[in-house]
Amino acid sequence: MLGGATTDVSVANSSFAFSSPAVNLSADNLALHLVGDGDFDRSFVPYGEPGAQRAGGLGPVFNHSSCNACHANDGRGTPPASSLEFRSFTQNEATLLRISLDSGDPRNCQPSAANEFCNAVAVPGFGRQLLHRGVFDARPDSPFVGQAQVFVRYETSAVTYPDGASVELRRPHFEIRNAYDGAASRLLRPDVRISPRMSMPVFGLGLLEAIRESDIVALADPGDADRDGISGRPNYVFDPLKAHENDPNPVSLGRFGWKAGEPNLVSQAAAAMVNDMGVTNPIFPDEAVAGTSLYTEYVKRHPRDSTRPGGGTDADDAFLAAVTFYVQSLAVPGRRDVENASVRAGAALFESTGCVACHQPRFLTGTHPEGINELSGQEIWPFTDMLLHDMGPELADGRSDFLADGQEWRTRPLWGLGRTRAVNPLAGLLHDGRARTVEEAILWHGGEAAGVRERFRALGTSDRAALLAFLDSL
Amino acid sequence: MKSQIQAALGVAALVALAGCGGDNGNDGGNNNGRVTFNALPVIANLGDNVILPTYVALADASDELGVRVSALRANVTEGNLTAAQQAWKATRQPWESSEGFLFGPVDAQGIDPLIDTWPLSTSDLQAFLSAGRTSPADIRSASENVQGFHAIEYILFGSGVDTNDRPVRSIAGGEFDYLDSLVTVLREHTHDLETSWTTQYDPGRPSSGPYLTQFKSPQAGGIYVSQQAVVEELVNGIIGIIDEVGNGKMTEPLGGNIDQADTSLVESQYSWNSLTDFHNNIQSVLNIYTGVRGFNPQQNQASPGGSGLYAFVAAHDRALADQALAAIVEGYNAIALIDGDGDVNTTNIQSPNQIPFRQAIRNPAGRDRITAAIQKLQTAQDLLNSRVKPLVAQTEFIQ
Repeated sequence: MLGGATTDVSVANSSFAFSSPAVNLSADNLALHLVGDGDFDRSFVPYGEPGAQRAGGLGPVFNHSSCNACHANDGRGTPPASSLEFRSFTQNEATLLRISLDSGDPRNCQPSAANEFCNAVAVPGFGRQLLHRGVFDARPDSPFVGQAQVFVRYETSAVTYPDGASVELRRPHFEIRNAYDGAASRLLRPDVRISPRMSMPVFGLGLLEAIRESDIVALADPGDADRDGISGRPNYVFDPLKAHENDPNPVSLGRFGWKAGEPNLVSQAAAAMVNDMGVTNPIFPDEAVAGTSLYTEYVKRHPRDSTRPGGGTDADDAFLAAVTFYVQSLAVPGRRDVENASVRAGAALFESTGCVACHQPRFLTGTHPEGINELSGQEIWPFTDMLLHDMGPELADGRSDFLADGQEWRTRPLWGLGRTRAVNPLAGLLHDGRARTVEEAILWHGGEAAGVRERFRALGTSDRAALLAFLDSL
Repeated sequence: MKSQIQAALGVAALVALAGCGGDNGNDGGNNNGRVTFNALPVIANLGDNVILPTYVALADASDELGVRVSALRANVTEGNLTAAQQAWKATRQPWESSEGFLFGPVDAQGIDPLIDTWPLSTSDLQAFLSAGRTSPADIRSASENVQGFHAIEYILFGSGVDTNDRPVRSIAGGEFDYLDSLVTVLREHTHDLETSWTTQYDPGRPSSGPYLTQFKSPQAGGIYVSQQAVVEELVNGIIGIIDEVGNGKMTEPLGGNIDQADTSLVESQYSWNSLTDFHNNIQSVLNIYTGVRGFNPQQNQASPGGSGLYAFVAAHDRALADQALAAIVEGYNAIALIDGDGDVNTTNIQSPNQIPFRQAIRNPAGRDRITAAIQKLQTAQDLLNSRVKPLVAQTEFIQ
């Protein structure tokens, strides 16, 4: 079972495939999961709005208004529609841009308070994430626009196999315009690094959180000592929970996000709330844009929006706990077509072409750090080593994220991959959603994975189909 | 990557995964003793005669709403306002009757939040209105919480606190521009939704074809890889909306006691249309379950030879099929009783002996009726979850 005893084998291939609670949850935990389910869907509105019970405090700038709006049906979002000309982001995008200043090679950074524990260098006046939407009056000059507008266009190319078959690839290009502080904005200078990030599935995350750190680190081979062409580096990142508890060295192994920039799911959820939605919470009690002139001017116009009764935050402990538990306790969907001959042949090809070098199939979870028994001691098959790998220039964002450099990405889990289109027919794969199919995603692999990609390209028609069938069975 | 990993996981392990990690081969395999069922006629009927006509009706009704709003704008009379209000309710009807199948383009294209986000941001809405930024282009670039059904409702019906009958003279000039633009953009979305089922489900890919084709023709490589996947979609869809109505839309405003009742959480509170919304939500369940759009439990009967999920369940267990239908109907009827008139056929608040949902949550007898309806819906949900849903994996789907 891919997700151990959490696995829901009753789901086939519908849009609900990622949305089952872990089947082994206790009654109490199932009840908490269901509370979190409602909160995950909750559409936030600005602070003070009637009807905003458990859902007040949106913005003033943000990327979207609910968790589910980006993580559609607990899966991947829909990337911006294909267009060869630049088109503005709509109000309903599941993609956001991380931003920072070029700060050189992060690989040898030594975490310290002075360098914010090797965090990316924030863009002055903006921060580390571009919040492209706003409440009506976030900017008097541009209603409903956030810190700046984002435009995107695609360019296409083709890959041809030896057997003559061809696959069209598309690559997005992003452009930032209409920054709130004008044409001379710091944001528009050439040393600003931009990293597009597409929302990713949220099931099975509690199991990944329960993998022993030692088991992940044991897979690392930063210098490629075994000369197999594959390195694998752990990211070590700022840990807001440790900081919250006044740990003098608030650094932990990064596990979540496209570059493993978040150490645990509480931090992940809390960061998403404050960054993506502008919803302050006990871990991040200040708005992400606090201190910027945009925010300062906004609260001058809307003084009631600068404080909360009793010094509280938009979301409270209970809300954060419920949403966190929800993503910790979503079931991994069961496999299908397991007896299919092509699938079985594809499993062998998955190994022989070298995919397993990064897509580590199996782990045995340890004791979950929060003591969630249902997630502990499970044999799981996530197909990720949880490490960073150089994926080459074609996928590079050129932006560091703690110790991850501009070409490195954390290996994506592959469980549930075959359900992607059923969950969202328009879902995009890879960090910017460029790949419309698993095959396109494979063909974008570069860097350390270039050799594996070339072995895939060299496969015959039926072997290619078999490998894809195996991935589709997950 | 350290080579020990490859040693730890070779071909044998992966092939073992193909078997042992295999969860139950639920799209095929050994079917000894399993019930066989050809779901394609059910799927085709639900696509052709329930889902698509609902979306067509939604687009058509939104056009009519546009006509009525234009008439109101041209001639500001109480009669034209009433006609526009009725047109809003008539548009709401197919939309709420689609929420039992809230999958596919309505979800993937993000149409649902643009049409039906709740709650509104009334402060942003008022500011938007005051600024005069109310062209269709402005609406298209505005947040979801100042547009869609509920923004239109807010203007047409007023606050809904004491009445849902806003005097037409209280509507200010700028509100008509906003209203007109809101309806224009709503119509764009309802037509996009219809087009996605009839013509092209991926806006960026003309060759994607109709979503209806994907739905009706499950096959390897398609969005739905099997009949089983479509039936699972349908079963989960009706369970999902029963859950949302019972445990979300009704339970959250109700609160734990009368002092915790929160009228601000009531959806469609401005028009007092909440009970009709809930009723239509469960109507969508009846439509999918029976295969009859507009199924009326007082007049229609489901049959094993029909073309809804009832036929699928009856192929396993006729008594269970009837039991599930009865449970859904009980929930449906219980919603209609919340207004206090004792009539299971009406939810539209029209007479003094009826109270809207937003008032019922603050009324002891009303709360009892709401609690009864929630319990009925919970019973239906539990039955569908525990006994109907497992049938999907226990069926050999044949052609």
